Amino acid sequence: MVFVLVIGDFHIPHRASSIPKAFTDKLVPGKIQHILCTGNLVTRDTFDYLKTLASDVHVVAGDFDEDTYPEEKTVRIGDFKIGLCHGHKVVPWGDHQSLSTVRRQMNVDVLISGHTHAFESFEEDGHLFLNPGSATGAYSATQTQVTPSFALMDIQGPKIKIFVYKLVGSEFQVEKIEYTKGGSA
Amino acid sequence: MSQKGKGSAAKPGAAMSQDALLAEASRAVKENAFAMKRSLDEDKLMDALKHAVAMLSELRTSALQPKTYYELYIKVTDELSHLKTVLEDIFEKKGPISDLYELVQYTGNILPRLYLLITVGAVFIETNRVPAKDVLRDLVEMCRGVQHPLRGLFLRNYLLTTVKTLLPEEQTGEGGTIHDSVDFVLLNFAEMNKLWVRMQHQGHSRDRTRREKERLQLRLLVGTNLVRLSQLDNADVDMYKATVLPAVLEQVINCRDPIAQEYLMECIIQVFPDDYHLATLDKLLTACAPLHAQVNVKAIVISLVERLVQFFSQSRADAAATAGVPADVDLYKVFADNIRSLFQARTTMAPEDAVAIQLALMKLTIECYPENLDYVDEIFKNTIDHLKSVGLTTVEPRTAACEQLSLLLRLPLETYPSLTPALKLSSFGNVLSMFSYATRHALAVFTAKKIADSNFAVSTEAEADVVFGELLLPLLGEVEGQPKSFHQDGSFVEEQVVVARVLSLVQGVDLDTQAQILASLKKQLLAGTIHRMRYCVPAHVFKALQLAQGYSDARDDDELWEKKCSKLYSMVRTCVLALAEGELPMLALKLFLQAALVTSTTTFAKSETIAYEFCSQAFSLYEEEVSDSKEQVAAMTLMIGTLQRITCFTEENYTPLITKCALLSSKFVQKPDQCRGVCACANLFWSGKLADSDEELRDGDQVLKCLKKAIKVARSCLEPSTQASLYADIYDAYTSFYIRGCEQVTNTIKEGGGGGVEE
Repeated sequence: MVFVLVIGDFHIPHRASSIPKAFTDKLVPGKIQHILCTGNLVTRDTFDYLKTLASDVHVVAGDFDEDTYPEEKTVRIGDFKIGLCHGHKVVPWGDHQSLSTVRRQMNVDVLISGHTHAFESFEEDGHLFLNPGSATGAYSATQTQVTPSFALMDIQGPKIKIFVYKLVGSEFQVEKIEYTKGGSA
Repeated sequence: MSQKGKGSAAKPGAAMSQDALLAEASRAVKENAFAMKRSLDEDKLMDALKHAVAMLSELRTSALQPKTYYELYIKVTDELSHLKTVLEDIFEKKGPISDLYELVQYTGNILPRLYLLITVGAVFIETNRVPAKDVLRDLVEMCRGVQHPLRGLFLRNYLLTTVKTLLPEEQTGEGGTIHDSVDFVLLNFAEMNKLWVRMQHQGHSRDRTRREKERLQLRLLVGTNLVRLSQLDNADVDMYKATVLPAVLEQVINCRDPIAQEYLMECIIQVFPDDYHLATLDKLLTACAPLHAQVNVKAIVISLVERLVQFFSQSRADAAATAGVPADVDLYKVFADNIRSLFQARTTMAPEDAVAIQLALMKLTIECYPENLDYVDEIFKNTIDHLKSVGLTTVEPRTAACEQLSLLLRLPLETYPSLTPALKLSSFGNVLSMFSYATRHALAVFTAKKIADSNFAVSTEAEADVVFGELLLPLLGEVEGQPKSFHQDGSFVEEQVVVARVLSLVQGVDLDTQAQILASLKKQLLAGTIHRMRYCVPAHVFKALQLAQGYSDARDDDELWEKKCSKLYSMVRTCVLALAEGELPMLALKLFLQAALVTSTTTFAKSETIAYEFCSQAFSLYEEEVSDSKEQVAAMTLMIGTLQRITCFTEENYTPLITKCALLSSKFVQKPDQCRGVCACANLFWSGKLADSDEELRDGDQVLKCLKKAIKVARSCLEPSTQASLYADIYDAYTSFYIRGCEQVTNTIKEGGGGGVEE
């Protein structure tokens, strides 16, 4: 059982002051093995925070990041080859077909991207696409109401259980999504 | 050094002689005690008394220091208690030896005589042979006969401990009443205090330090009287107010001895219950002013206040609290008035002590009257007034006064669970003006962290004035006294990030308030240097953009919304331009694109013009300021992504913009960048949208043109592996437009004119 935290688009301090307490309360050190961060931490502080949760932290560069992170990254966890990119370079932003192209180019089983500040997960051609949304619910010009969210993947063999954590108003919600390598169907 | 050496060399010798003296005296005590016990066993009471006298005579020594004398005293009184037990036994069984009390008075020497008298007197009271009050009065008066301080103090201590359980505590009674007991202890206390004070004035003045040390060792003997008073049943608050406290304070004040005054005041505060203090607060505080100049009055007042604070906070935490803040007395007023007269009476008080007292009062006020902010403001004012009256207009950093004043300022910010009440205070500015830059800066950092960490949203203009106009001032702009290289300080970035977090939390109670807060912030931010703008301006810009969207969303409620939006966008423009001028072109470019994107969503008459202005600002920054090839690619990627999303342009504005993107992309330094750039631009011609249409552009000719351009670039690429990967990318692009139904692309593929893609 491997827990992977998928999180990003913090935008601290440009658009948000901190990660909601309801989230930081859940995120305790020692339970998570890997962190895949979609970028836009903006400052070093957020990176340092992620480092306190797990030692294996992968970050890609968002459009507002000050530190230099790679544009994209491929990480192998268990049976899965996972691609990570922020997504501001995928035009049109968040477009399924364009993301699908990126996935093919990266040759990965799972593609994780951010930028849209809206949680999304879908399957295409048996591959998983996951966007954890913005952990701080950071303001977005293209999104009227941003719900703070992140995802936790529990990878077991060829299966991934995805727990989606959202803060709707002050209410903490958890959804569960399951994915099997090669497609659920 | 030499003095110290001498002292430590002399000490072991002195200690040894004390030990020797004690050993000798102890031996004598042991022998006499043994003889006394044997006589008692043989029923020879007179002989026993004779031995007891001999044993007690050891206490007549003047050679022992207090510590050693104490040890001897314990040994003697231990043995004496044996005598007492036997006497009690005799009285029980055989009835009283009626003349015993008179008999022991024939003892030749006064000290053994009084010890015996006390012992016998106690036995008489215990066996109810005589009214306690008469014996007590007799004993306490007769002890006056011993005026040697050390001997007298221990004798009276023996008196107090021997009759400890025998004091009458009833309201009425033949043997005596609680009043008699109170009088007895008070008199004993007064006499002991006199003896204790007298110690100070005996012997050589060169021994003063040693003497004061010895006096401090003996203080508990005096204090025990007060402890006993506080333990007396039926000595209620009224009696405390009417009799006990006045009598004790009279001794305290009249003795004019700093050691006694300091100790006894502290003792009163610690020994008596809280409600007694509440009932006599004024009296107790008034007594502080005339105390000796050397007395640490600050410590006394603070200890009283802290005791009350603890009392109230505990009784509040305790659900079954019986006592709360008294409704009939205004504690703040009592303290404030007394502190004022205290300051007047004690002109030599150090400023930091004065502030420390005010700090204690502030704690009490916030604990007791959390709603009453006027009190807090008044404390600020009184403190500043006092400091100014003693000639202090600024407090230097790292001084005790500065430390205390900082604590005073922080207290309301720290203690109120929400900052809202604290920010209603009007005196922050006055207090801050006392500090120099370093302290104000440190306080600003403290406040900013506090606000950011507690997620406090500044929501009114008044709050904004206090937070940004006073508390955080040194972090938001350049102020007098700041070091020249302030932005190179190790913690500068960290501090600015905290300030930006505070800005990102700002949430006016309504849109217009938010607009006002942002407008005044803009002035402050733009007055600062670029080093600060780098962190605060983006936060401010996003707040302004969010607000514009807010006005647009609520357009039906506000006729003036368009005007307000325009104003916000013009503010954004000014702020972002300031970043551009400050040599942060990339940041400015990104913000202009964000602004264009937001403007596009707030559709109104001027939105297209404004969005176009933002875009063209971004383009000119790109062309004039962004020279690094990597940055160019990054910037263009964002421009393409943004333009694809903007939907407010008419064709005459949109086409030139996206055409320019394609043109600029084809001019990238690196061939692969050119190739991928124009491929990305193809998306603009296909899925871009115009203001007057819901349909995508679907300009297949232009898409094909872009893709062909890409192939041309790829073909000219010399590195085979790069070329292959570019072809793969172009192939992907072709596929994607084929899937989207782009006829021109489909046809090209059908014609086999992929233009080399098939290679």
